[in-house]
Amino acid sequence: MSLFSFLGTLEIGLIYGLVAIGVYLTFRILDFPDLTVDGSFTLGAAVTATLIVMGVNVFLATLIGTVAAACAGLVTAWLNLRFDILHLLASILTMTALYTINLRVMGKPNVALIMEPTILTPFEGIFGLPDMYMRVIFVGICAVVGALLVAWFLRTQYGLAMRAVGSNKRMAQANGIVVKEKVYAGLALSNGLVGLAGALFAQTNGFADSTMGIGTIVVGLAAVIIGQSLFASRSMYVIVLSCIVGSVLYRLAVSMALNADFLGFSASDLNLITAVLVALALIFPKLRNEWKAKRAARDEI
Amino acid sequence: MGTSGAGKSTLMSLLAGLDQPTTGSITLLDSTISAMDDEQRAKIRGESIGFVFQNFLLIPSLTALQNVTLPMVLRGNEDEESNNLKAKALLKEVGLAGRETHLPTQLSGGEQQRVALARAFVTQPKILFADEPTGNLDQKTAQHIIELLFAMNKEQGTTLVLVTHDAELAKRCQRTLIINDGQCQESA
Repeated sequence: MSLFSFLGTLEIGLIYGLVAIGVYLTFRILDFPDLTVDGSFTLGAAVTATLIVMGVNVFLATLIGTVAAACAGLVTAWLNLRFDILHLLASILTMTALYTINLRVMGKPNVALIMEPTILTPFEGIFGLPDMYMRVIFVGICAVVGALLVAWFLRTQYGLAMRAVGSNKRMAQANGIVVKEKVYAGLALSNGLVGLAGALFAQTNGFADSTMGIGTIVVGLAAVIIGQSLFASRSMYVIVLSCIVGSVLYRLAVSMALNADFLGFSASDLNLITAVLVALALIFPKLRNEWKAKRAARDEI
Repeated sequence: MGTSGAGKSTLMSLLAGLDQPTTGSITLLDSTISAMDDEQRAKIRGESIGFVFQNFLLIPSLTALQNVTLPMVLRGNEDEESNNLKAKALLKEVGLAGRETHLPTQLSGGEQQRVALARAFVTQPKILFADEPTGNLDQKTAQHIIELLFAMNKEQGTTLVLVTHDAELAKRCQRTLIINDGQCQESA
């Protein structure tokens, strides 16, 4: 793998680290399987790219893209909490609707940002750094700052209440927590992070596309699972940062698989590689536990 | 008291404002909680009510100490040092000194229920609802938990609402109500 290709992989891995943190919030903290992210990733990108093309300030455009994605999370939470629609189905409904909304936002299937200013523009040439390094550092800082803020938040009174809701709604209710409010907040935060990732992706890659969000949930889940299997820790900071590490490792694994000529994979095989990697990451801890149990039983005999 | 499926837990959930009645009204601590919204009921529970559940319901990612301090943090008391001191004292009282850093998965059922007892009493609630608190425990552990529950209840002067199908246990309470076929009647 060339240096250029490695840095590109790192950049995408770091951006998807934000997606992984969002997925961690819904799947692990709130116990709410949320597929909205496939649509909210694109929504963040589409809104931001469209606003930039319209001449809006890049930072404001990114903020609006993030807020729009957070609103998508609120819609899913509303469908689930107000109308008792199963969480998975509620998120699929929002995701499906977002496909059309994203096309409407962009007015066409994709928006190019090649000649437009982006969030990276103010940092071009900073400290004499070549752009390819600056981009990685920039998205790395965004991902790490995002992770630290989320970890800090989860340790606050509000964050603890959110964790209690995901752990057991009945117990949370009994302790005076307003469950619905925490679910709304959690889904908005999660999808906001995913939308921010979409906005950064569009600006670093120079385009927003209506299909760019397909498979976001699987990539996010893969990153969470890989990160948590490698770093078993009780510290919220380690757990949240491990989502970013998991995301980078996942991207590197995919990139190496695609670059290994003897395997004969092409770019179109990406989804198969993703599915196999996620399956392996899910299967491995289970097999490891079974081996441990067998060994312990043998030792006892 | 009542047989399995009689509606004891449902009644307790209604009394505590965890569920809303389809008809009728419920008054708790001089407030008509059945007319309140989620937020108002949550506030009353947070300020005045404690719970002990049959399944313990501890947060798996938090240690025993953190599980006990949680209700205090949720009430807005974020003074970690004073919370920890209070929680450690209660954990000691229930016989779990030295187990503060253990996760729920590293504790036995009886130990988890003792953590749940400490958590329930840490905020000194006016009313404590206990739903079959020994239902998942062996007889010896159950006996120990019950003794602890009554001792702590007496010490703190809490009103204890205990749901059980154990007649012997019910005899220790000052007042016994029996639910049968959806009807609630005072025990003779």
